[in-house]
This record gives sequence, C-alpha cells and structure tokens, in this order.
Amino acid sequence: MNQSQFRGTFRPYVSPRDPCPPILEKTFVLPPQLFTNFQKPGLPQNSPEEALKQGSLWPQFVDGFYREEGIS
Amino acid sequence: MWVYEKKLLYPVEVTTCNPMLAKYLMEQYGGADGELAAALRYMNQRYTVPDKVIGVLTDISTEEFSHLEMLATMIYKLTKDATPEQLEKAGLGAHFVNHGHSLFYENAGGVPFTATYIQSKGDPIADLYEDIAAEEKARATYQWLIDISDDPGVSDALRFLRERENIHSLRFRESVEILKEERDRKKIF
Amino acid sequence: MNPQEEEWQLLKKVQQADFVVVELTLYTDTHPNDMEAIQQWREAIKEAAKVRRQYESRFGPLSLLSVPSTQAIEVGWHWNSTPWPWQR
Repeated sequence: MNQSQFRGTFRPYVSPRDPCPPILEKTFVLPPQLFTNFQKPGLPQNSPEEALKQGSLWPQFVDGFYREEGIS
Repeated sequence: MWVYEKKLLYPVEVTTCNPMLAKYLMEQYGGADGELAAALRYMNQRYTVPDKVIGVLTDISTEEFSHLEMLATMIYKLTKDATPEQLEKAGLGAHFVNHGHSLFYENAGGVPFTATYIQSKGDPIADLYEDIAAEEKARATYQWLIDISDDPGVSDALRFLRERENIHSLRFRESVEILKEERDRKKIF
Repeated sequence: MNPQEEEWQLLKKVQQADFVVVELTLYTDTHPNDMEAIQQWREAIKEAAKVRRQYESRFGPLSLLSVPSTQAIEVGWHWNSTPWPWQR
C-alpha cells in the first residue's frame, strides 16, 4: 500500500503571534474512492484473511490510516 | 425482516479498562455522523430511491448495524468493571448518574441522539450525495478517534471501520453513476 | 490451544468467509453485469456456509437459520448460552 498517493499537503499561513509552535506543513486525506467513479472489474484481491484484516477485499481501496503518520 | 447473527462482523479485542476512550467512541455510537445515524439514514431512504440502488442502501444499512454492535462492544468492554470514581475521572460522571453502567445513544459530549442528524429529501441525487458526505465524515471521525486511542485492540477495530467507510463511499458514488445512465433513456423508445 | 482460543480462531474463519460475501454482495449490487464477480459471489456463499457448518457443528448455531447439531445439544448448547458477541 502506498499511503502517500492518498494524502495531500498544504502550508498554512504562520503568524509570529501564533501561540502554539507552528506546524509548517499540514497533511490531509485524499481517500482512494475519490479517484475511481466506478470500480473496474477484475481488480487484484486480498485473501479472505487479509481482506478482513484490511477492511476490504480490494487492496486498491485501502489507504491505511495510522496514528504514527501524524496527520493531527 | 432481519435474523440475528450471534457473532461480530470483525473480531474486536479490547485490551484496557479505559472509560475515557469509551466516552470518545460514543461519537460514532450516537453522534451525528455515527453508525446509528448511518444505519437509520439509509434504511429510511431506501423506500423511495430508484430500484437500481435499493440493494446498496439496504445492504450498507445492514452493515452499519453490525458496526454499531462493534462500537457497543468496545464501549461495553472499556467501561465494564470501571468504578464510579474511574467513570467520573473520565468525564462520565453525569452519564453514570443517569445511566449507570448502561450504554446510551449520545455523542462524546453527552448530547442525546436525534433524528435531525439524518436527512431524507426524496430526491435520489440529494440523498446519495448526503450519503457520500456521511461516509466521508464518518471516515474523518474515525481518523481522529484513531489519533486519540491508546488501546491497540480498539485502534485495530477502528482502522477496519474506517476502511469500510471508503468502500461504502465508493458504492454510493457508483450509485450516482448508475442513475446518470438513465439520462436520455426516454429518447431511446 | 485451550477450547476458548480454539473457538475464537474458528469463529474468525467464519468472520473472514462472511466478510468476503459482504464485500462481493455490495460489489454485485452496483455491478449486476459482472458475470465473473457473480460467479465468485456464489462460490463465496458456498465457502462461507461450509466454514459456518464446521463451527456450528462443534459450538452451536450462530443464527436460528441453522439446525442445531446433536453434538451441540449434547454439550448443553442453548440459543441463550453465553458468551454473546460483545462478551467474548
């Protein structure tokens, strides 16, 4: 899974009067379904075990959000 | 009708006694973009949408009820043997005096569930766009819950639930595409 | 493996097989002309029923659509037996 293809970034305005240490670049999620209006037939599939673990039969629609990527 | 299955959709394992996390999870139990709202929204809209998308609404609604049961399981386990003192420390003192150890359909801030969380416009596109928005909002809520959760078992179940929102959003987007194909159908006759 | 762990693992197999059916049902809802997927969906239902029978013959029905096995009745299984899903 290549997470980075499902993330966007922007650089918010930073004021010298911001009280919290500024985060210069913010990341947000662009989930896989945004790029597919209609699922194509015959996409590669997960095994049943992997499907339940990932939350989908099709790895293409799994973007794997983790706390460690530090979006918030 | 529905037949009860004596199993969860996904094997939920909770590792900590953690009433504070339970309180946060209530956002997806009885909150505006939570699983109860989702299940009721789709189950209600399905009666007046075009036949081609009734299956999607029925099946996703049914799955949302199984998500609701997963949330209930997590909240139940996280608070099961917590003392009133622990509940109070976690911000659940007011919940405790009203509800004891029982669950209630309310959000993380203690606001009770209301039907005004859901919409039903009787216009297929308006309804499906609301459904897509609901799935994306639920996905975002799961992100913030994953970011605040310190229980590995709960985080694991939340990641599963978050990915389901992606698939549901995709199926609703496909439903819109299916309805777009109806354009100009009259001309063909 | 203790019996509780064994039951948990076998139930997980049911959950995995059922999940494939859930996914393919939603997919075929919006892809009614994908014959290959419809064939896979039929096979997935058969497979899920097979795994379910393995679980239920030992630990009792998961729903009232299944016939309780004599083995399950003999070991004292009731519909109302614990654990319920949230208690496991």
